[in-house]
Amino acid sequence: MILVEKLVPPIKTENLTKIYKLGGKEVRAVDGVNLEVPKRSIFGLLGRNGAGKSTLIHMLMGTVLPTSGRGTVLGYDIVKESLKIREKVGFMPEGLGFYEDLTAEQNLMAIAKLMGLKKPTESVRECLKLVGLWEYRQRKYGEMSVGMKQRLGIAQALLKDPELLVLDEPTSGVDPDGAREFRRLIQELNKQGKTIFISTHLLYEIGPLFTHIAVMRQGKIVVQGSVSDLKEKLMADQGYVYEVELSKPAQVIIDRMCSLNGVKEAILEGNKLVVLCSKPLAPTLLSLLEGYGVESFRLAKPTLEDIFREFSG
Amino acid sequence: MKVLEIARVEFGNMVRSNKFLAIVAIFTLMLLSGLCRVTEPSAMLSFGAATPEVESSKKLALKVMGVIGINVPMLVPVVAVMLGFDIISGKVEKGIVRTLLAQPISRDHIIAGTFVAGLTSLLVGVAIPLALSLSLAILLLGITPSLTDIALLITYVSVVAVFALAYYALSVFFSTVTSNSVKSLAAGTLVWLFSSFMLPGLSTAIIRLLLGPPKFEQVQMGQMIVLKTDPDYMRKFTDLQSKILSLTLDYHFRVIQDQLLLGLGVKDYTGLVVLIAFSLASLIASFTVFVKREVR
Repeated sequence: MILVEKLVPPIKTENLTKIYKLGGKEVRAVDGVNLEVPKRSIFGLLGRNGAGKSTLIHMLMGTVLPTSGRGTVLGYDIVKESLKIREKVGFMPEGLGFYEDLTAEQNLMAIAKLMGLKKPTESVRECLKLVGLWEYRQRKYGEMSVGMKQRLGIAQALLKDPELLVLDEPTSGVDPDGAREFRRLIQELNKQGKTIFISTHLLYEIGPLFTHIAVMRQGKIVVQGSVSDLKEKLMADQGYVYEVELSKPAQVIIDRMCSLNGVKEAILEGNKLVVLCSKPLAPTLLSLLEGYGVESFRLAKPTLEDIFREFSG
Repeated sequence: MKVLEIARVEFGNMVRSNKFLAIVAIFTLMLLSGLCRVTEPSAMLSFGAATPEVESSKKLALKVMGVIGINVPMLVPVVAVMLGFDIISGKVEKGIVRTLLAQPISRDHIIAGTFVAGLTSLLVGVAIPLALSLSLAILLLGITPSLTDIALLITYVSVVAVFALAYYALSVFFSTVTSNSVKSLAAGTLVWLFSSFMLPGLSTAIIRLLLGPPKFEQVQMGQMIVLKTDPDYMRKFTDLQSKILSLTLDYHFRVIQDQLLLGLGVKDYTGLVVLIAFSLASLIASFTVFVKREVR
């Protein structure tokens, strides 16, 4: 059993599809998705609005039934064992809300009791402290700021101390301070061994956290893998960009650079030289630049935004 | 257990809301002001014995019902619609359904818990103003009701609660189907306006179209000749009007209320059966729609 638990990825889907009928027309919201989320990863499900991220997440949580395909979350079948999944997984759906006339603490207590937690008071206190809402526990939900509401949303997902957290657009509407606080919290939870699955289209806020990503476009997963692998792949596809700082302009070097096998383009702007290559050429370039006063030499790696832009369409 | 837990939280949230408190306060004040008219002196001459002893021997409950009965058919649907119009749509709009569905709870638990909480709040919303206004009136007017009075009033309140339930169930149905509180409120209010104000007037026009203009016959009364509507025409008119108005919830309540006001007790249970059957059908329809719906 222990072996099985180790082998089963927290989330795995096979050809998962959801077709909605809108005005007699079929819309493939999720189209043949094969997804595998590694254990203890911070997995980003990226895609523009309407790419199908939320529908996919709701299928994983069993609140939307797939049209075809299959999937498991923590080893449980997403159709037959959805209640078991929601018992084990901390889920924060997009656009969630609470009872406006109840306080933060009362709202969490209500959910803790609904889940049948053995020590609801302790769990609520711990979660409120973890998300930084302990001081505001007596504040009514209707009187809380957007950031505080989002934190309460995370707190309800953490109540059951889950090994997998699924967060749908957790930072939408949150200010920069709130987003920073959120990043700190996610890192802390990941250190505790939790797998975190986040759907977002706001890369600049939480992008740096991801260890793995999948990019969705028009209901399909167009690329997935570890962030480092994907950056390598993108460099291999698009080319390697070397940025060189020289002590003085050296126009003569451009022709020599361009004659090298593997160099696509070389541009000199003042003292800065940018070389675009189709394969890794760092040693060759460095030897060629000897005597030209190289002050810095670095490989410009693609960012997450580059990957997103390349694959999200 | 989950249903009851949801109901407990829902009920707590409902009775804490300003909307609920405002409804209870307004309803109480309106009923109280109506009740105060029970002892209002009348300038009209009473036929027959009108000594204070004979007047006081009239059942208090009948007097109270007579006064409240004017307002109840107007107020109860409003209270019921106000309590029910956002019971599901409000939860959808505020994201509470999403939060609940993030827990190991199924959709039927959510709607069943909401129904229990809603029905409880409805009962409280009808019973508190009635009990409060009656108690205040009794205290202010110094009248002590007999056991028969209390039994009659409880019967009346129960019938009012069934009437309220029918409008509440309709409002819940609109709330579930539209998932939009504004649309749901508009639909509930339209049905109430149509049933209470428009259809009674329209029914006359429809009957006139069907039967033609009223037929009169001349009747000699002493030295005067008066015009009397043809009894056959009147009978047909009344029958048709009853049939048309029986399409509304208000009609069935009024039939029962009239029986109670005449001091006969409930002899014909058709109205009650119709109201209960309508409520159950609406709640079952709402339940089915909600359970089959997916998060989008």
